[in-house]
Amino acid sequence: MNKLFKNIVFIALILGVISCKQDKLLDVLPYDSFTDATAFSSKARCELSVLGVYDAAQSGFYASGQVRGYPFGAASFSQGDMRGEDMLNQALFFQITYENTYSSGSANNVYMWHTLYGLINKANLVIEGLQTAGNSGVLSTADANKLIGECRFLRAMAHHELCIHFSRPYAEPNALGIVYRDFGTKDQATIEKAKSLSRETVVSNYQKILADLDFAEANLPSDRQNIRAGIVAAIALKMRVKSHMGDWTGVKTEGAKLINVSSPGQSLIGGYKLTALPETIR
Amino acid sequence: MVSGGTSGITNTNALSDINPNDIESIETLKDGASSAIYGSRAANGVILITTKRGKAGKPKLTYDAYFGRNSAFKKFDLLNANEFVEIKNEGYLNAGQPIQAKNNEENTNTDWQDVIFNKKAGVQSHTISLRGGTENTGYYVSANFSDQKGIIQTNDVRRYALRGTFDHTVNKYLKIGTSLNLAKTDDADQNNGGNALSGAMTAALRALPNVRVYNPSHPTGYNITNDYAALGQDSNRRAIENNFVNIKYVLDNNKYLSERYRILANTYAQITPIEGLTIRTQGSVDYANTLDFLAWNSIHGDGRSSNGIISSDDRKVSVYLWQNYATYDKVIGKNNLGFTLGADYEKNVSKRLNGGGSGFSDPFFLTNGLISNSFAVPSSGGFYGEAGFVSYYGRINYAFASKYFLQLSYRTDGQSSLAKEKRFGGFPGVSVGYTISEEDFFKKSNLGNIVNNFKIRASYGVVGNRLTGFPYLSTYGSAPYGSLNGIAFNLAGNPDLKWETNTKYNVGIDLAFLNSRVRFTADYFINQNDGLVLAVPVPPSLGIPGNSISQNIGKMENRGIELGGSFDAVRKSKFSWFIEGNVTFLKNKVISLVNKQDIISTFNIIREGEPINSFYGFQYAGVNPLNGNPMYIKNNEGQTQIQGNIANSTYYTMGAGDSLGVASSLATSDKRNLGNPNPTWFGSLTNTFNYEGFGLEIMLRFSGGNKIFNQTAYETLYNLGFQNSGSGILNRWKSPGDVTDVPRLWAGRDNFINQAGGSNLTSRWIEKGDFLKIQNIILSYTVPVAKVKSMTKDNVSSLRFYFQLQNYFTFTKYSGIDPENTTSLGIDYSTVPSIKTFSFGLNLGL
Repeated sequence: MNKLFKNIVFIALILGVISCKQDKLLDVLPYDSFTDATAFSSKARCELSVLGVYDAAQSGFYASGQVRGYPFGAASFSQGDMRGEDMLNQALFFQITYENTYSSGSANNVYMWHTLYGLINKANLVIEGLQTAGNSGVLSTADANKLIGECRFLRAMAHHELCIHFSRPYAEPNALGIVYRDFGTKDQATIEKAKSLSRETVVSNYQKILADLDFAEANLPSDRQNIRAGIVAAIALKMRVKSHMGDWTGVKTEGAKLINVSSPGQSLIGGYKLTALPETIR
Repeated sequence: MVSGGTSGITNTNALSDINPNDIESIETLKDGASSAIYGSRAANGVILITTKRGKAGKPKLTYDAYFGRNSAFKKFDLLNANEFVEIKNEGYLNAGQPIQAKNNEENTNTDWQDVIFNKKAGVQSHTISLRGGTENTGYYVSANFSDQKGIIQTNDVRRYALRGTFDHTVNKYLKIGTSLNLAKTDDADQNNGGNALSGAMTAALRALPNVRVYNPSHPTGYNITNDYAALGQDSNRRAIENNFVNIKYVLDNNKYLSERYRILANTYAQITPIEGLTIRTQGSVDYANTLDFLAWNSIHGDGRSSNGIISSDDRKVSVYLWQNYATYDKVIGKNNLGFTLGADYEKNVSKRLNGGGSGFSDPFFLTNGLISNSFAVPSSGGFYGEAGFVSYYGRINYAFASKYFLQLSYRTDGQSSLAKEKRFGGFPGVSVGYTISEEDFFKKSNLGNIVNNFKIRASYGVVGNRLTGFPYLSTYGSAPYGSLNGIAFNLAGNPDLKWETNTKYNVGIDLAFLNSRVRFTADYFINQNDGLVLAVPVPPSLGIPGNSISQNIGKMENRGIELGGSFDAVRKSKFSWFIEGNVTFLKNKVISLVNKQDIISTFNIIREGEPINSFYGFQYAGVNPLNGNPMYIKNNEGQTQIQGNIANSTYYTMGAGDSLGVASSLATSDKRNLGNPNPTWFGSLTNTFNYEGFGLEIMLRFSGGNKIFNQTAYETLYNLGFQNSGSGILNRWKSPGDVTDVPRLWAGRDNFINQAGGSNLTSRWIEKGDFLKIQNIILSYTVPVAKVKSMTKDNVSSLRFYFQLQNYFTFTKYSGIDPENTTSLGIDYSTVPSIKTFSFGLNLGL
């Protein structure tokens, strides 16, 4: 009887250890990533998420996940040079661009499409995260709008690049453009919603691009320099977009916001000016 | 146990840390019921490796050794210098460009495969073991050293291993034991990338055959261009395309080293409180620490543009496993009853720390380790991750009079890779058996005289497949923008993800005739994977990271018959002949997919009703004899034949007399299923002959019914750039009327002519995968015990010599190196040939 009792105690002990051990083993979370619930939980993390959208613009991915400079990085520019400039190709790698034998399966074509939409989705998800953070008081409304302005600037830039490469020109008003994505896709429900959308007209694409840029212009800071978008960048991109639309009056209106007509070497925003002599540029 | 590769830069195999000499027996468990007890670890079947432990009796010392040589299974057949000049210049002429290839004054003809192959790839292994024990205590210790050189000059694996086990029966209630495996493996490798500029085989296949390996007037002594960027051009008018390197220099200077330390420790205690009841608790740690070292030389090769690169990694993987179970066996008359209850807990921890740099002051610092302050740009990185598994299981066995067998089991498994509500899955198993030959009526019948074992059995079992990572969570990972820190969406999670299950049904018979001289087993099985978890592609215009989300996509089935048998053909006192064989016929089919939606990867497709991962691409229709254009069949209603006009890279229909018709196209909608990459039949046959002390064992293996995508041919062997090609390109179309499979040459137009460099597979690169291999031939001689003892004055108790040929003979129509050297998608792009080995060995017992 004593022996039996000992056995029961032994088994009970094991079972006791078991139940607390189980949850400890299974309640594991990644240590190398935030979850989408924690990525916008502080002002600093919101800032990090916005910089992640810039990263998606400078370095995308290529076949088998290699990092390559798409859509707005070195790789896309050097391929563009190989087609657009007066060059003689000496490398098999560029032959496809040089001879313009792209097909719908060509890697350069495919990954430009992939990385542009990758950038757009990241911008959309961050916009939604920032809106939530703004509503819950993690960010002030002004801070949230400033950061959303950056994301909408990048979103407009990506959609415009898609229009240039994958749709008919603006001059054909009824021609089909691309699908303009303005919400984040991250799970089954949003995937189904995004899949159900179809191509809009080019005109509608350009209207949405301009709406994004108007928002960016209204909310971006005027003193921002270097590698993040400020109000100057938003206006400059609007000039470019309106050039593609053939809206020359619009181009001049935007330009006038930047260039001081009375002293042309000087910018109206941020106080930039041309140096007197080229050699004084460092 | 840690499984799979643990190194980032060399090919490692966790199983290789076990010394084959320490293995007592290997058993394969395939049916549902036996794998049910092993749970998710058994999703693909169980290989049960029983290692040697102590045995009561006089200590027995053994020495086992073998020596041999590895060589390449087969070499690629490439163009020689003269053929190279002819082919490449023809490509330029056809393209209207000036010719570029010219032999040098010495008429150099370099075989670059010979340059990088190790001609004396020695193999050796030595094991000493000691085994013994008393009635209550047993021990086994062994030490092993082995060295295997690969066929590429840089390739070498050395292993040092030690193993000890100890078991002790304390009293009639308690038994304890422990085992410890220590191994150190030094592995040297090289870049094996299929399209890497410094990939050892790729660079050797593409290297120009009409240039020298060495150039005494170059500062390095190797034949390298003056800007150090590429292989030297000698008399050719241009250098090799895409800056392929002098691979000899790269292999002599770049380092791919890994040093792995492995500890496998295991301790158990077993209590028998009352007769028939056993309670066992067992803890084990499997720890693998891999130190990776990669150095790219600063002068030439991948490291040139960064002025030398070192990447040094410290990876630690630990698996902690705690297993507890109780069994109770009871015999009541003819009834045999058994109960098992158990619980397993497993924790995996993975850590990585990386340090390195670029911009080295001198190649001197790029040899064996990272030296502080020898480089301009430092880099560092790391990782930490955990995973957990929990299982509870129970089993009831019942047997009556050794005639009727019944087993019921149930287990519930939890894994940390699924959302809290979905993480546990329940998996049942049932098996029944009926040994008719034990029945009195059978024994008394006429049949009973011939058939001495006749059993029928059936089983059903479900196991869950493990996942890795956190596919249920949407996550944001590090994404620095220039010098600024950032985070970005890097995984679209699916919180609804549930366990993927593997259901196995199996019915079979076991038969033995003529005093078990003839044995036969037959099984019919169905394995169904339900809720198959796959990264399902989503349209790239959604911008989901990796363009995929993990989903339970549907159901797949493997259905087939497995037959096995053995025959004691001759059983005389001096001579015996034993035949053993098995064959499996298998049919794979995807039964259902979510929304019936195809899942298309680069070259493969998963589609309802077809074998999983079938090849997917364009139907090639050979070469137009009129003009040398490649022809395809469109997948439209009329199955229109079209041709790709090489001169202007445009598709046309077939006009009058096969001339160019109207403009056409070859689009994604023209792709179709190009064949099944999964073998539909495979098996083996072993013949063993013994005459007095001599033994001869010949093992054949065969497999087929599958297709292989020869990606090496597609990307490399038929390339049209200024690089060497395979000799198959000599069959190209040259003038009107030529009937061939290889289109007209045109320099640099690989993309159009071969559809290379993208995701456009064509049936031109698909081949049959059938083969028959003589896997193993072993000729041995066991010296008679009496003779050994008398010769050595009783110091040696047993002695055996053998000579072995492994993987030496293959019969196949496959044009690549080895029809078995493919990925799970049926793609052969490994380029490094597999190995054949001959060896001589001895087993000595004291």
